Amino acid sequence: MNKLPEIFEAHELTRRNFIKGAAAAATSLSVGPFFLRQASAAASDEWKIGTIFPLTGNLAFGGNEGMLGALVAQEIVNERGGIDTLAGKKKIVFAKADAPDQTASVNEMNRLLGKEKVQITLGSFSSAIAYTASAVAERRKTIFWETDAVVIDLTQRGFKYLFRTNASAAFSGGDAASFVANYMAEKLGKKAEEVTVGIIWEDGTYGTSVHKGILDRNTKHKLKIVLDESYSGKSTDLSPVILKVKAANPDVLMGAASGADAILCCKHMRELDVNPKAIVGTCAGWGVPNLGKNVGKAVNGIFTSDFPCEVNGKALAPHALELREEFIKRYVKMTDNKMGHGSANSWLTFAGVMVLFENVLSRCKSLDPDEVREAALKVDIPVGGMANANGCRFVPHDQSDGGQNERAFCCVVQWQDQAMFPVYPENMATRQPISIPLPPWRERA
Amino acid sequence: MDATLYIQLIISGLLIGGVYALIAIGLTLIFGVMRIVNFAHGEFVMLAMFISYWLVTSTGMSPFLALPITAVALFLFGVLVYVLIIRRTLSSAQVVQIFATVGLGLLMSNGALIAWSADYRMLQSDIGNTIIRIGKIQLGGALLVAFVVAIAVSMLLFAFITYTHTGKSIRATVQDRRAAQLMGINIDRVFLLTFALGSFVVGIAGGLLAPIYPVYPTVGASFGVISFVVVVLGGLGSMPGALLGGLLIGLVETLNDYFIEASLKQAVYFAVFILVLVFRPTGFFGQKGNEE
Repeated sequence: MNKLPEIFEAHELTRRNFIKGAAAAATSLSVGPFFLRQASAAASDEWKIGTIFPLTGNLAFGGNEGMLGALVAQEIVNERGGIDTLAGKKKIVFAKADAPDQTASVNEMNRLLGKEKVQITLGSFSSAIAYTASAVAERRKTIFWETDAVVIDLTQRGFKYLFRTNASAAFSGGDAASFVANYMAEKLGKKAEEVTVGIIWEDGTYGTSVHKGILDRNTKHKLKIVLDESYSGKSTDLSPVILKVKAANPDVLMGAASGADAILCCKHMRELDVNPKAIVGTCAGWGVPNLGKNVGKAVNGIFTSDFPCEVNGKALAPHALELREEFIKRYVKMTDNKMGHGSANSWLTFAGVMVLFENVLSRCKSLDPDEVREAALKVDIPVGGMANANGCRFVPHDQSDGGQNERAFCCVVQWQDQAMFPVYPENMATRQPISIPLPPWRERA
Repeated sequence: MDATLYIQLIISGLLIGGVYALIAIGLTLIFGVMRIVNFAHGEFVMLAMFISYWLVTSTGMSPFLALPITAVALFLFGVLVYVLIIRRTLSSAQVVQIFATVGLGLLMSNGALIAWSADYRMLQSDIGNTIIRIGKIQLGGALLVAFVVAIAVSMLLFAFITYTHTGKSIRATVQDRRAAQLMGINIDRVFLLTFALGSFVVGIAGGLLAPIYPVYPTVGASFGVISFVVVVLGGLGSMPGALLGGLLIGLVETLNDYFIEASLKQAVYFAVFILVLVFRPTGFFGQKGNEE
């Protein structure tokens, strides 16, 4: 007889082998579920949430700052042993995605929702990325938790699973216009409708939204707009735009910049001796901590309508104050104290993610999107209750602007000593506004 | 409108155009000789800007003193890239060369992102803060110096290619590689020198840009696109063409931003670009066949 191949020989069915196999199978069947239960219990001690930010590419600065804010929030709840949910303590793990552009955001969302099987995704800093990423989440009926993108119509598309904790550009642009009309005009000795305003804005999703916010609010204030000029945020030379500002000679220059363009605006204004009586930027480029270092002392006196960050402690509820201190301590440690107390992006994301962790997931038994959605719609945090002094209550999804936090707002900060301090409204101010009217560049440098 | 404003606009456009030209000259030199389009060219500019930035901030030296060091560093980087990547792709299909340089560009920008973070950094220097006033015209000191240096370097490079023995070897290689080889020219050495020389010029351009423009890991993308437009406009492989193309793009950009719409900048200069290519496919000074 031909010899059987080794593989068959080893498994030749003898009575002894059969008994051995049966015993092993019986043991597996009886003990296996025990180990599976253990493994499952270990896994269910954690809840996985997707994060999507532009961590590389042109938008990487804000994206990485946003990610840092989320990491601080994760660190805080995990050090407490996890979120105290209706299903017990749950630690948070992140499935991270890098989306430098809209195409990547769609691909990465599909990966997060498909392969990683997350049911909640948070992000995203960029308006453009939020726009496409949230559409993928909505199609799959999963939660998209936006903490930083400002594009106005993000929450005006009738989505049911989208929540935004931060204020939209209607506030950053609109509040800038209100600041000029309600505060600056008086300081300049004029009525609001007599104040001449120039607006220069980058033509991406961000700048376009802020610009709309300014114009919409100005229907009420009636500031006199003498220049309204858009430009590409990737421009390598903005001197012609600044020459237009010079020709229009507005009392107040308002700007929406996405990044390096704010630095270029300052540089060209200084070179071309363009000296409006006030410069009021709107977060992003005008509000990044490095602007002070990049522009130098001449940055002092510039206002920015920005998202509240480290506001006057008196404007915060006790728990929000605790969160604020925790954030500063951990952020400074994570960044080796290189970025001060954080940019608006890290603050906003931290504050928004803490709402998700402490006020939404704590009321859930699972991450089922419908359950999370119901819990989110019940959130009711008064103004001053979030780490950045905002409150939180979401507009129901059957109404216009559904999913938008209606208690989010901006405040005005001013560059003083090459750092930003809240100066308006008064209850959030940590310093008084200075340099009105703004001295010329050559005196500030 | 005030005539001063016209003059200011034209001068501003020409000054920034001079810097565009210098960036593009490195690219056109490499293409003209080696027939390789370096898609990592913008990232070479970024690297040069970072080297200059770190040299100035860590030693306190003047940005213009840092210029030759940056240029030499880029020359050596060019040698390294040629030996490790470019040489190995020379006999491959064009698509291999494209992917190799695109990949190198991605590696460089993301490497910079990891090493130096995505922060914007603006070099603070005396020359960067100097403003030159000629009547009512105001010019940034750093930009004016950059323009003068850019034109001088372009002229020197042109003279080097035209009058030196090595330059003649390079031109011979451009005309007919095989014949040049038969005349005893070491083609590999010519290629190595050309790639390193192109990188050297980019080093100068990056060093000049550092006090003018913020540096960050993806800054190369903006300058990369412009330099490709300038090179094709001027004629692939033509140095005088790159100079003229750079000045023209600078001027078109500035005049468009003021008189038409700043956000239409790229649309307008691409329109000029298409018009030139329709009526003169070789660009201003390109040789027939180069565009193929």
